Amino acid sequence: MTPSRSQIEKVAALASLELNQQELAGAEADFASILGYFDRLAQVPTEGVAAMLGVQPHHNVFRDDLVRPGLNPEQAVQNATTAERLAEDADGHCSHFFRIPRILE
Amino acid sequence: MSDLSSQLAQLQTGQVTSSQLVESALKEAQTDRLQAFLLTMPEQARAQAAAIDEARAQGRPLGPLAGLPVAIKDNLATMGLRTTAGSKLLQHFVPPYSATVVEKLEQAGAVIVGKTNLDEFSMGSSSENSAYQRTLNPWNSQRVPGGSSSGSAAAVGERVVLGALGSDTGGSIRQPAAFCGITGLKPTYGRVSRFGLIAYGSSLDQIGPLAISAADCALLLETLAGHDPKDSTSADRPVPNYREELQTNCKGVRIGVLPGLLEQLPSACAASIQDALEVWKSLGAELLEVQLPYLEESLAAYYIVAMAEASSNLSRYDGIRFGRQDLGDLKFESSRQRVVKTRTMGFGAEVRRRILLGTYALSAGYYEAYYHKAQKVRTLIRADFEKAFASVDSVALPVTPGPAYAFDTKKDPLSVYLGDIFTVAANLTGLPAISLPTAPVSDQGELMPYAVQLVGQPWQESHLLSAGHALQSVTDHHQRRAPASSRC
Repeated sequence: MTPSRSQIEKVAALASLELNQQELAGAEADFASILGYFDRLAQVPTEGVAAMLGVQPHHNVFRDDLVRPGLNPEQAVQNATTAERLAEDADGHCSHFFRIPRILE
Repeated sequence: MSDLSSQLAQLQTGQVTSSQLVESALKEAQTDRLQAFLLTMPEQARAQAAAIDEARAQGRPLGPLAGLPVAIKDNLATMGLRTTAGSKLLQHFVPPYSATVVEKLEQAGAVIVGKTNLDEFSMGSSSENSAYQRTLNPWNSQRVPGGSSSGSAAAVGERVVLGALGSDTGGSIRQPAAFCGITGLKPTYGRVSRFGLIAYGSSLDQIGPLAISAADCALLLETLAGHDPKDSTSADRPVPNYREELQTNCKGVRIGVLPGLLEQLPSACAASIQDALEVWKSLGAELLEVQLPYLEESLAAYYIVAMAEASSNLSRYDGIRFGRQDLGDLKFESSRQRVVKTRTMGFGAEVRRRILLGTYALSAGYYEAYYHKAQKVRTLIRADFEKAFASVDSVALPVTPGPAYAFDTKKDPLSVYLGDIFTVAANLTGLPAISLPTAPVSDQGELMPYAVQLVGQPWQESHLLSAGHALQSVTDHHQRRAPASSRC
């Protein structure tokens, strides 16, 4: 199952990545060789075999809803893009939001 | 000083101070002949060492690792200190918290002297995928140290520090340990908290120790293991005193071997592993043939699961919350365009490759054929091991198909992936596994380390450490270093 170039472009868009023509050709070759190897699993009989979602049984973890130490607002945004790190109000107070480029016209 | 345990003894008897040990480790880490370190922490380390020396002088109680210099892989969060995961995308990332294992090391008195190089986001087997530098193999600077815990393995192999932390998603502790001639343990999934570990494949990742000996891995695991409310997959089970459970004989131990497997290896490698098996036998172990019919399928299943989980985990790097890039004067018409540019510029080629393949494996129309199928094969592989464990305590496997290879000789990504054929099954199944140095092998006229792996039953790290300790009680491969003439 080797995907076409346009399918790879669609996957790149889903993954928020950009590929130039040369990278696209490289990705095409990678997909052919690596997926070609993965396709060996098609030969493994798995009818009636349950999918393993994790190595341990999943169970809910409950705890009391207690206030515990956490990050302060300054710390929570400290890795945001510097130039747009903190919105300041008219008085110069930081309001500790992630500021993102405009998404609505 | 040959290992952590003897360093600890010398600290306790006052033959050496923590400040002296830390100073010497810092000096080597800063010279960094092998390019193993991405960051050293001289001020913090010196202050901690001095505080421990003072506490010791005053007779105050000290932690079990008090005064020992160690290193950690740079995908473990350190509060206030840059943590890159080997990626340009995280070149400015300063975590506001520390990983649980980092806090545990510090509480136990270990002194972290630096953070070590890795393949970007732990994706690689050689350090060639680090965005920062290539780490050299301590036995031969022309060869890779293995990966992705490249710097941790090289730093211990070079004796800059005698213990380090790595993480293992598909062999990233065991393979570099094997290539650098040291001991490495991947604990059972859930044995060690993953809180603060920069995620690659969340159902596969596990943090563990790299050290000279199995006994030192036991010492470190006692501190690392245990339940953590901050990681809901960490197990709420008692932590054994691993050092007390170490044995020097193998009476009653049953080790599984796969018929015909060693014949597939280069003859020197097969002989090296056979020697180790004979030692275990001479110590009282029983070697029994077992079958793992789906082992060969583990590689494809592993890479599908790992890439799928990676594509999901790495979607958080959008350049807004994390992953700030220097985009200069670039102007963007939309927020999305900015995210795409950040990711495209920030991720290296191998990371982009895995994100793309993982996204494909999870996408509509292909999910059944790849991700879902891989999860079913995962069940079959686990059933293989469960069946084997009905008659044996652990299964012996190679760690790698051969010793460390030369830089730039593996260009094709699939050929690199194939090198993980013996390590990934332990991650798919969550089982603990240890890499133990065996007799070095001659490869192209050069002597290089090699190793045997034991994969154990869930939570039976004690068995693996004990079998390793027994082997190391009567052999010295774990203490060997490259002949001085071949070092760079």
